[in-house]
Amino acid sequence: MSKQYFSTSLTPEAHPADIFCVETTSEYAITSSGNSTLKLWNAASNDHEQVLTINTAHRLGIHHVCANKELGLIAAVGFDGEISVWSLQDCSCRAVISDPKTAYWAARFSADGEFLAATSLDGGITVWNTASEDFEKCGELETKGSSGLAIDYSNDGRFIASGHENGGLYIFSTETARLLHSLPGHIKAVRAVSFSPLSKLLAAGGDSNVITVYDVTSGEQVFNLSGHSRWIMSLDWNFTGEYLLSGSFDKSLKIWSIEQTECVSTQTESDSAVWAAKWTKTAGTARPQGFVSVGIDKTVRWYREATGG
Amino acid sequence: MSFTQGDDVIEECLDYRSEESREEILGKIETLISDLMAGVAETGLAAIRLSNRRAAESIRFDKEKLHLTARDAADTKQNIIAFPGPTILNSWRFAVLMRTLDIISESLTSGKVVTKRDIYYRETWLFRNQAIVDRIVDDIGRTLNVPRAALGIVAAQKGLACGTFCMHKKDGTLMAVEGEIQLIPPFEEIKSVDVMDIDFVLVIEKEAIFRSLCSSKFYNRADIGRSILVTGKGYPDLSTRQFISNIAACHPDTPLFGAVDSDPYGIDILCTYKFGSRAMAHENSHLTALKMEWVGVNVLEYEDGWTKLSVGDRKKALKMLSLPWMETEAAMAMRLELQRMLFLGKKAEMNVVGTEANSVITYLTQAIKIRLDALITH
Repeated sequence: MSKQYFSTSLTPEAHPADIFCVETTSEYAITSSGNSTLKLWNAASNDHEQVLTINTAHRLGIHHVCANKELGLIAAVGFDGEISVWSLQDCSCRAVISDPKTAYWAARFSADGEFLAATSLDGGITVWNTASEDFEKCGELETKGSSGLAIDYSNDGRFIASGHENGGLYIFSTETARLLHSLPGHIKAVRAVSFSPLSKLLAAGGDSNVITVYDVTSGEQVFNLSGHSRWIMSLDWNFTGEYLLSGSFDKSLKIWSIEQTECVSTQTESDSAVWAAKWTKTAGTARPQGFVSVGIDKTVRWYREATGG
Repeated sequence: MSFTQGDDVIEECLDYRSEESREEILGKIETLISDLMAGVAETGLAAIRLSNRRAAESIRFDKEKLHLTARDAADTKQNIIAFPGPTILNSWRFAVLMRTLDIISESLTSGKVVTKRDIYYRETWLFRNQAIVDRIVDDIGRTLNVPRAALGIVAAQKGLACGTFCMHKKDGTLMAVEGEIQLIPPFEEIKSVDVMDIDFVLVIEKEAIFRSLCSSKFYNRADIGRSILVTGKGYPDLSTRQFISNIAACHPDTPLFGAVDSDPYGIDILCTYKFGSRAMAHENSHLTALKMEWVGVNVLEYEDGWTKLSVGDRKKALKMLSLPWMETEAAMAMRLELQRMLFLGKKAEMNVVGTEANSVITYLTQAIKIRLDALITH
C-alpha cells in the first residue's frame, strides 16, 4: 500500500543560501540558514507566508533549531557553538548559553518543556533547566568523545538519545543520568535520531544510508529501512507513530510505514540535497498532518497527503 | 595607485613600486641610525620604533576594495626595540634588527638583490629561523614606508606558470612561455606581461594537479580555448600574487578562475589571491585579484573520498567565517562552502573528485565551460 503526498506550497529563495534546519510547532515552521536570522512561517494558512523574523547574534549562521510550544521558546544553535533562546511571544532573547571549552551542536527541548538538552562537538551532552532564571546547567552526560550530531528526548521524558560522528548511538535514562544502551548498527556518522511518539522505538540514520530502528527498553534492533542512496540527514515520526519521515542527501524525502517496515512514498521535488524535514504539528487542529522540508535549494516546501481515490 | 585603461596601462600597472630611489631609502635608513646614535648620546639607550604590521590595530578592512589594508603610519602599532633591553630577548631583537638593516644597506649600495633566504643564511645563528627574517624585513618596509622590493629584497621563486604568453624582463630579455612550465620570476624583474589573446587564466592550488593539466595540454583546448595555468604551490608567495593581480588588472575582460581543495585551507588560499592577507596588508592593493572566481571543487560534488574535518580544520573554518569580507556578496559562495563543510564535518581533496583517473580534469573543463558559455550569452 503506498501513500501519496503532494506539495501544496513552496517558498523559493526563502533564505539567501542553504536552509540547514526546520522545526515545527502548531503555529509555525521555523527555518534557519547561513546568516543570523530565524524565519517563522505560518503553519495554519494555505500560503504559509512568513510571519516573523528573529535577528540573532549568530553571525556565522545557524544550523539547528528546536522549539517548545508550552514554553513558547525557540533555541537556536549557531556555527559559533553557542545556543540562543528566544521567546515566541515577543521575539526577545531569553538566554545565551556558551562554553568556551566546547561547541554545542544539536539541541532539543523535553516534551514538557522543563529541560533543554544539547550535544557538543567533544561528545558530551548537557542538560539545562528552563525554569531557572538563566538556564542553569543541571546535568552532564559523557560519551566516548566523538562529536554529537543528533539528539532527541522521548515524549515520556524518560530517555535521551544521541547520535555521534563515529557511529556511536546511545540511550540515557534521564532519571538516573546513566547510560542504558550503547546501540550497535552504525560505524559511520549518525546524523538523526528520533523516538517514536509512545517512546517505544528509536530510529537512527546517517552516513550508512540505512535507518535502523531499536526497541528502547531492550536495546534490540528490531528492523532496518533501506532505500536511500545517500546520507540520511533527518528523521521524524508522525504523531500516530505509524509513519517515519526521512530527509536525505540523495535529494529525496521518504515516508516509511512502521507496520509494513517499508517505504510507502518517495518525494523527489527537490533537485538538491534535503537537509531537514519535519511533520507539521496538527494534533488538536482540523488540519491533516503533512510535512515540510528544507535544504540546499533554499526553498521551504510544504506537503499534504492526497486524499480520495 | 589605481589601474586605468589606456595604452600605457602595462607600464603603469607594473610601476606601482616606490617612487623613492635607492639613495632616498638609504637616506631613510641613515636617518634611523643617526637618530639612534643621538638617542644613545642623550639617554645611554639605543632605541628604534618598529612598525608591527600584523597587529590587529595596524590593519583595517577596506570596504570598497574588499581587502585588508594598513592603517596610516600614525595609527600603526609600533614596538620599541631597545638596547640594552630588560631581557636577553630584547637585546637579541635589537641585534637582529641592526644586522638586517646592515644587510639591506649593503644590498642597496651595491645594487645587488638578495632574497629573504639569502639574508637568513648570512647569520643563521643570529636569526635562528627563516620566519624571523621574513617578519623583520616586512616590518622594516612598513616602518620606512616602502615596499619590500624597494629594499633590494626579492622573493625566492615559487610559483609556476604554463601556457602561451611572454614576459618582457627589465633586463631587456624576453621570456617566452610556450607550453613549458616556467618559474614565475620575481615581479620586480618583469617589465610587462603579454598574454596574447587568451580565453581565461586558471590558478590551481596544488602543483601535482597543475602538472597534470599542463601535460595534458589543458592550456590549449578546442572546447574551452587557450589559457594560462598558474600554481602558487599552496599558499602563494608575493611574486605569484603580484603576477596574478597584475594580469587581472591589466586584462579586466579575461576571466580569472581559481580551483582549490574542498577544505578550509583551500578556501583560504583562494581568499588570499582574492582578498589579500593580514601580513601584507600594507601592500594588498597591488596583490589582490578580487575578480577571481572560485570554480571548485565543491565539497558536495564528490562521489566518495571525503575525510573527516579535523578540530584544526574546524577552527580554521570558523576563523575564516569571522573575517570581514566573508559577509560580503563577493565571498558568498566561499562562505556557504565553509558552512557546508562544518555542517557535514567533511572535507575532500580536489584530485579525488569523480571515480576515474583524471576526473579532476573533466570536472575543471566542465566548470570552466559553463562559466565561459554564460559570459557569451550575457
